[in-house]
Amino acid sequence: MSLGGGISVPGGDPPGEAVASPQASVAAAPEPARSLSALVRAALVERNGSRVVLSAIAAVVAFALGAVALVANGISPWAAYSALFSGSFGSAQSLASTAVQTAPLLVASLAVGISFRAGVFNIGAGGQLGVGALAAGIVGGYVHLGTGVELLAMAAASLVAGGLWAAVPGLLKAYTGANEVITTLMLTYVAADLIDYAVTGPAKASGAINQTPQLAGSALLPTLVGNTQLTAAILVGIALVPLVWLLLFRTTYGMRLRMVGLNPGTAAAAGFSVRRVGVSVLALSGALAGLAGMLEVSGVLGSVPQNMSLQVGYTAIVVALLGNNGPAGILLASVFLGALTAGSTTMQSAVGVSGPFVVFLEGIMIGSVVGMPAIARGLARRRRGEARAAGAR
Amino acid sequence: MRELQLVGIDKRFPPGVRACADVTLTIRAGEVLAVLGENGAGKTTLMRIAAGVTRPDRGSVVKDGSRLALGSPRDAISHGIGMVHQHFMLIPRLSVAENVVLGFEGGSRLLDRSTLRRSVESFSEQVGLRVDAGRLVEELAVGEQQRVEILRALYRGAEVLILDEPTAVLTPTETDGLFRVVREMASAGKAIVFISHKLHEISQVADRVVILRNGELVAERPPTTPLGELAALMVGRPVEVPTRSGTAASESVALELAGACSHGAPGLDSVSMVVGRGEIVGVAGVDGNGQVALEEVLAGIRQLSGGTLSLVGEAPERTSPTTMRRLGLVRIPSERHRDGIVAPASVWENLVMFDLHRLGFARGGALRVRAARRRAEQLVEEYGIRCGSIDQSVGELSGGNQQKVVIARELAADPSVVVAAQPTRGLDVGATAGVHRALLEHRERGRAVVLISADLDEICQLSDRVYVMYEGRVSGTAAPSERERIGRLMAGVAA
Repeated sequence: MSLGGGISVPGGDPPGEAVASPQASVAAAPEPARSLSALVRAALVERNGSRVVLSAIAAVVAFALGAVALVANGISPWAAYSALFSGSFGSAQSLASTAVQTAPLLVASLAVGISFRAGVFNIGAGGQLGVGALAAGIVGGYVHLGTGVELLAMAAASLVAGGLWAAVPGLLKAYTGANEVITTLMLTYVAADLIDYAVTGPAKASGAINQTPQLAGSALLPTLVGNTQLTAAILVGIALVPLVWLLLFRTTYGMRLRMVGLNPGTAAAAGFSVRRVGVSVLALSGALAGLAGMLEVSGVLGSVPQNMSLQVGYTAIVVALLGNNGPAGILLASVFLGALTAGSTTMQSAVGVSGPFVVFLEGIMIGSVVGMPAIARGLARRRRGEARAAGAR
Repeated sequence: MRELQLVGIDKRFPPGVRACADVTLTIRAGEVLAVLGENGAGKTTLMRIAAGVTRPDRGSVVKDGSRLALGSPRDAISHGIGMVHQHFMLIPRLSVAENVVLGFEGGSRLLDRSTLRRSVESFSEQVGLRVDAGRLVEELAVGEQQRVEILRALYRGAEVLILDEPTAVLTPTETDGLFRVVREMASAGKAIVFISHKLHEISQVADRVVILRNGELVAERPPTTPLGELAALMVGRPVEVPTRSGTAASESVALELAGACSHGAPGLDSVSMVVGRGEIVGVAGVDGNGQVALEEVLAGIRQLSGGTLSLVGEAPERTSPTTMRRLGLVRIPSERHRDGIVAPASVWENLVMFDLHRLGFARGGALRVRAARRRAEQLVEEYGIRCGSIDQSVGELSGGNQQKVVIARELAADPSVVVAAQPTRGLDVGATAGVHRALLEHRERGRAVVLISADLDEICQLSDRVYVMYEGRVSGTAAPSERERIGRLMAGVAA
């Protein structure tokens, strides 16, 4: 079971290596996780108005460094990037494929964004997406209900599975202080193994292929445009954007969540339970990520395969960062990264640049979004150090 | 050395803050010069420039007619200019002697402890600053640590000694001791610069007073100048000092602690305290003597490990911030940034977040944003919070206005008990008067106020009665007029 190409987690070793040598992972885990957590915290907790600019700069930096890499390999960046563009926005077909890629990414990113808003760093959306997909695949494959009801049952199963999966690190954090960055990330590997176990054993469809049963029509999301893979999944994603906004800014829970994320001390003084918010937001985030898994299974894959890619869970971190954890920003950023993923196929066939190149771009973007303000803040701090002297006069 | 001159010092900090604006100042050997000003007036920056910590944009430091190139504090000390900062720069795990000589050990890398200790001790005798050179700094009281800082500066050959708000951390007794030391050093020919914003100290210690306001040197006065005049010079307009009127209104009890104990370092050790309606009860004490434990116990954050707490007749079994608020006790926290505000969030969110349910801004799970914002607008108006709009983030406001946000939120509900912990720490004279007025008005409405403060002036000015805390216990009670007695109790001396 692989987690898809290179995994773009900011800082630290690629987790893929940690899996390859469990011993090394034990020793190495806290170190990358701490810096990762610190970096993520630094980028997320401070809000500033110029975030759109920052994200745009990050994208430009990524494309520029990508161009350097392409040139170094004797490939024309122009040819590569125009293939990337035409594969994502160049035709109705490619637009549809961008939308297909965007749908689960958008939902998973909203999930990640919500947790980041509360100062809880759910890095394991991939795992929650995986168990959500598995739950949906099993319900859709083995429990046959009427049209509509079937889909609702699958959605409910994915929400519950993802929510429970993420509640575990939530409770561990609340009652033992275990760092959720590590636990959510590690549970992703457990989720991956669980899927492999299920699709090769108890949930395996009859036949030679290791997967859950092919979903029947009533378990598939309706196609929106004939002759494309574009399904109602994208509508679910878009509908969730205002819902998440309402949750964050128009409910008391949303206010508690945001205040806990911005200043747990004052939130506690106001009588908000930081612990309860932490557990519930992880469960909520996991439930949404689980739903993203259902959208993948029911909208694109048609069954849960062995070696299902959980990459979307990591890309969602990039999207949440680029989108500044706000629903509107996340919508924009997920379309952008959805387009990159969609276009990468065309790029591969046109100029022979393989798909993980896009993951490389994502890595640079996350590095830039996190690193540039960190450097800027470092510089500002040196100036502020003197200014504080002025403030203490 | 005869004199040290600061000539035409200019310093700006981004964004556009002019910390020093063409300041020219002479510091003379054998005198104590007080540099007086509000927070943010430029006092510390100016003196950091003299001590080589900060570089000026323009201007120069001149010693006996020759211009000094000050690139670092080390340069400054080599010219005999030393500074004792507000936050001590000592290494707790090293001994006094090691701290004193650190960085100035001479040629040898190997330190012989006993020789070192003897030489530092004899030096301390010589300059009249007694220390036990062998003790670890972490074992020392704050006043003793300060003496080590001063000793270190002298050991390095300081002829000009700059003390930045040196009394902020001291008990009244320690303060008196410091003043004696300062006077002695001046008569021994040192030049002493005494940075302060506490007016009453000036007359006790200074030979000359300069007043800074918004980075400019606005006046020079003799120390005998009336305090009102000095205050007006500091603020730039006459300052009215709010005062208590009449005696406590009623005898009925609002809050009572009986034998209250709580864990912590220090926690509470059998604290008993009665607070009546219509009175301000001061809790005096040097920082770190259990005030934080008291504050947190009253706010419902920390549980009692023994004893009882009763509030308007009720004695809640387990307390929480929510239960205490429901019973009518609110808190103005000592750590404003940690517990009082959410700096990145907006003014309106900060004004309503504590009382969403009580004020009816929660309908089902929905937040009634419009009603909440209307409420916030009212509070901004009523309490004179200066902000661009209620959508501005609280972190962008001045310290005084941030505290107004806290006070507006807490007092608007007309709670029966307010726990005000260090409510004016870091605020300027104007903002301080505003906070005091709000607390006095609350008292006049027949409500109770617990004023926990390390500022003895504040305690004596506002309180009807005073409890003094020392090492987690109430070391005694006093009337606000018994300033000396309070001072002795603060130092743990039986009074």
